[in-house]
Amino acid sequence: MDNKISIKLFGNLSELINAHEIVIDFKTTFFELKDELYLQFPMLEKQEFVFAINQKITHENSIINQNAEIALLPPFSGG
Amino acid sequence: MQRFIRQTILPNFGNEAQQKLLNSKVLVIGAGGLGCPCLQYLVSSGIGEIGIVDGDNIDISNLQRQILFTTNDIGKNKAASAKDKLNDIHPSTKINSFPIFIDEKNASEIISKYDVVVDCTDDFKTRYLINDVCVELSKPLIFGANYQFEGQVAVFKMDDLKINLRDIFPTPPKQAIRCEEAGALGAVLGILGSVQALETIKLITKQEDCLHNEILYLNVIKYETVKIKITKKMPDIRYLMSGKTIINLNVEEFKGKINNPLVQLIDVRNETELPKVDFECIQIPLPTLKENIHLLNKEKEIVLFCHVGIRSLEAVELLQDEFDFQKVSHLKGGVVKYFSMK
Repeated sequence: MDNKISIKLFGNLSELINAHEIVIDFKTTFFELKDELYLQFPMLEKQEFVFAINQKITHENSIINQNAEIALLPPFSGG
Repeated sequence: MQRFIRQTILPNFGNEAQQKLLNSKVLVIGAGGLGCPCLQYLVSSGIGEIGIVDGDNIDISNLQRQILFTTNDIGKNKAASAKDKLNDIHPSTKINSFPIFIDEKNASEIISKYDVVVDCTDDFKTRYLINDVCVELSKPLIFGANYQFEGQVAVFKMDDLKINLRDIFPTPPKQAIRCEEAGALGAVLGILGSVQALETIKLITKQEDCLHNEILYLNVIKYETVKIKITKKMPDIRYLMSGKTIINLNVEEFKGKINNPLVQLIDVRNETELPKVDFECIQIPLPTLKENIHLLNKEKEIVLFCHVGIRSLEAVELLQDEFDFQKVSHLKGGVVKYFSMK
């Protein structure tokens, strides 16, 4: 996968996109990658979720390695 | 101890761990799909005292997943009915049932009497209330939640940094889909409720590895799990009695908001005040904020600042209370603090 990075989806996000994993163009920073994600999947922009990069919830900008494991984690409330 | 012999012979368990369970008081809030299996495992493990809070009555549509209840229980209160069933499982466990919904008025009093809290509720408003009270009272919280064939479990020990639900999602999410709309399968809730019970037992018996400040995402269709570390997002949050929160940013966090396209920075000082700032922002003096409210973009995160952080705090409250802004914070210590750190 040249210059691509895959992102795992959970909860209603995978339902929305109809996939458990999506592949987007790789970007070197978190914020750029976020922009790229919203560009390719604009329906995600209105959704509530947090980014996990390498098993860590990430809010601030950071450099991303192409091997990074990225997941989009929406909140659940059912009980 | 014959009753518990199978667990006391486990490695890292023994009579010592069993004694810890016996000496502990656990509060389970919500006796529904998560609460029923969780309660059964907690009681049968030999916890000394268990509180159950649930104001709801048993409905026929609950029975496919709320496995403490039978057809004969329809119409009865969940906490009271659960207590009856659990007494049969282990009569020595003291069970207190609270046939009420937890709310702002009763939460602190009920929670303060227990050592560990297990959140088995099903709406964000209650979950955030429980979270905030546990933060305030430093009570360990075992969070669990379900969405269709997926689930989340997290353990917040509430030690030093008091990492909690708000470090993942700072404000109660809006799009919450309840199980009435999303659907729920008993066996899935059974797994999640059991994980919550297990994490509670691990916490009480001081097992080395638990989901401490981590959230587990579990998909039981694909059997895929991710375990995510939670770090302190907002080191300084003031929780108001109204249930609202004030987010205080430190200078480091504030710097992360500068030149961020998703953030609107607002200087609420008067135009003549010094020092001038060295980054892009909009100046709206506090007394004119109401009439200039149209200048603020509700889609963006609003970050306010002033000279020392008093007016900006007032502005946060104004935006939250009167204009229903959701993503608002302010720079604690104001530009004075900002320039002192440069």
